[in-house]
Amino acid sequence: MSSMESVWAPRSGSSSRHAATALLAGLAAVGVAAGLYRFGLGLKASTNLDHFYPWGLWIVADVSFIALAAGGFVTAAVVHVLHRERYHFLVRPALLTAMLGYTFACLLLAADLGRYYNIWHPILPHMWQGNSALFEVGMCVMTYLVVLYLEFVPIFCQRFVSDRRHPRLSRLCAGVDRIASRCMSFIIVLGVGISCLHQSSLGHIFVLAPTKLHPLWWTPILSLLFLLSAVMTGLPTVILVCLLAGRSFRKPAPMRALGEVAKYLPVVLSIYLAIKVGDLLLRGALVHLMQLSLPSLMLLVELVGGVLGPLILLALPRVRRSPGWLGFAALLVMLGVVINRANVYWIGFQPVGAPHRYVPSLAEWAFTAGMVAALVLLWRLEAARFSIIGWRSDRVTSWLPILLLCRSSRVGAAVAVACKPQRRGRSPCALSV
Amino acid sequence: MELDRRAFLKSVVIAGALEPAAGARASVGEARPAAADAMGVLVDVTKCNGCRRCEAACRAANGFDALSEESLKDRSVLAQLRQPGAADYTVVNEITAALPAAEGRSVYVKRNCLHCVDPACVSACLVGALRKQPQGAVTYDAAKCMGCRYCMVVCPFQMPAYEYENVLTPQVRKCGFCTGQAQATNDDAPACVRACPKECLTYARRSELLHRAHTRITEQPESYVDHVYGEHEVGGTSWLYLSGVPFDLLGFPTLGTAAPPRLSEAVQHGVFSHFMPPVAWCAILGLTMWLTRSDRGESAPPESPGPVVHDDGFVNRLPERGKSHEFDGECVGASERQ
Repeated sequence: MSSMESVWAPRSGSSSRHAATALLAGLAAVGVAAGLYRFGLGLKASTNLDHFYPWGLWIVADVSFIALAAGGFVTAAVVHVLHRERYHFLVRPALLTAMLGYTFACLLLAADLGRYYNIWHPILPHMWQGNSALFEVGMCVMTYLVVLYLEFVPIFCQRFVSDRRHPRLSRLCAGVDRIASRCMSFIIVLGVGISCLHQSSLGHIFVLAPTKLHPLWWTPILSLLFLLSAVMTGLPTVILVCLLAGRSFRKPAPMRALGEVAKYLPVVLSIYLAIKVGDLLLRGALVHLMQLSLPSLMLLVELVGGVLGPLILLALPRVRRSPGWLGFAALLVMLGVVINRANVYWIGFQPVGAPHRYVPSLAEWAFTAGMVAALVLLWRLEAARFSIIGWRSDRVTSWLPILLLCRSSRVGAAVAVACKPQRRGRSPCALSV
Repeated sequence: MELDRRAFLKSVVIAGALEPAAGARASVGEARPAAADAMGVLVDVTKCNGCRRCEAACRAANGFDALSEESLKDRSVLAQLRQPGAADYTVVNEITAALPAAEGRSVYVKRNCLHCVDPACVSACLVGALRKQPQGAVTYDAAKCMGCRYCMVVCPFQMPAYEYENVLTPQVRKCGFCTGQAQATNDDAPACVRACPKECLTYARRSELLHRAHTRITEQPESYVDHVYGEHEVGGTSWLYLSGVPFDLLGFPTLGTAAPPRLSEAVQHGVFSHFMPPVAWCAILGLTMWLTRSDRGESAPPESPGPVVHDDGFVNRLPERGKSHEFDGECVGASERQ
């Protein structure tokens, strides 16, 4: 068992990596402080939520986390339901991302709920309210969280199965692993099924507020759009996670297989784009795009930057071959979906008679950023502890675009230095667990 | 190709699931009718002089800080365009600026929860803390509430308020139509109605109120606009308004006649009709998983041009028990046969 340091930053003498880790840990600490502030002093003190804007940044982050975590069910469907075995290496990074994404979404939700200690109420049959989209979301998210942790059980057990120092633990884990493996097909199908349900219900929530959501986003098929956008962001998230994990663990992700996966993305992106634009046309909502306003600008950013841009990029074989470009395109898709969620839950939400627009408070930003940082750190920690990364690297080409992108900011600079191409030929097993 | 097919399959399934919803679309616009004996209040805006006795009575009835006689005389409050809040379920606003100059005088509008006939907040509440009572009231049960504030998001009138400053037990606050206070007073009219000295508020059956409202409009067409606000808005409300000036000038939102829950619930119950679509979807997934599994020898074995998936160069300190990376039974089977 090595020192803690090797878990956080495996390569000695890499000060930039330590800097990035320190930065993330600092952010997480600030986030924890903001969280304590919220639970200690209440929503009034910590947030800018008011009578007209009852939902704010935390809910936006919440639904974004859940959308980005869709990679878990998309890869499960591709690899386990459709048996594309060659993409098996995606499953565990995706599962870990989904598991942490949903866990942190629940944390953010708890912070946002006024009576967080009643968060389990939807389970009680006498409180069931089947007309509510949020009830459906609540039940499915709770179930799916359990499913994700169950899917993690074999990974957890395999870590200890061969532990010779603790034969009892080893035997116990082997038994649990065997049972878990028996049920796994059922669990996976259940996970994919209910993911589709609640991803769509997250959009359906706003069908009930036709007079308050901007017509650029309100549509009866909001649920379909949310489901499709979750599916379309699932794989890009996993791709970026693999690329970054490859950097971080000095075990570059296999570009050939990632490129193959990415080949399907333009298809999914264009299906989404076609339905979204078709919906705007059919409802006659395109006139709102003609006026220069915040909502129309945000829709353009969402559709051009987050869907059309990566659609064109990913259609180019050159982009799919280069880790930098592929990561960049994947990042665009992810940002596009996050902006979409922000547009529906924040920018497009326009209550009548509100005296001013809602802008998140410092504590809201701090808590959100802290939770994102904590998620990244925990991902790194767990990937180091359990066998998450199981690919064999192939040749790495250019990281230039993402480096250029990163260098523009101070935070990015740290990340960029941390991401500097490695020298080949070194053992990938420097990390001890 | 697989993703393509998957997305297509999914859209087919969803389209199929939405089909009943489309069938129900005919009834989507029509609101759930009000119960025959549902009560309501008719607010005749033309009769209100802004004395705020309703506000004082409401505060007394609901245990909020009382309004003193002096504060009632302070008429500067009226011009502030207040919104019912967490400590006052009803407020009276004075509207002057927005009115045409010819009108020449102020109009006083009492605002509170309108107790929709088919309320969006009740449809939204995931734990049933908000309920539509048969006699018309929309009531709130704090013990069930988890504080998600979805009710506030969907209310077309922005009526539910929230106790943000309450750290541990914040509640959604809105007019409860003085439900449960009838026994104490032997009069089931809400406190504000009983307190009104100008007979601006009338408490009766909603159907009767509608009749009275239309009679008033017909008898005095010069005093009223021909519109009973709340008769059809979002499927109808228990509180109805008569006014001498168009309602949009008074700050009433212009709303359609469809009750939002009809569309939303039609889609939701279409997708979940008797749990058939979700179960069918899971069945399709399970069947696909079963049929395409490689040990049946029907589908091509995973030729592996890219990385060897099960290879684990990384955490290879773990002695192998079989392969350490296999994930489920199916996969173990598949790889062992190769």
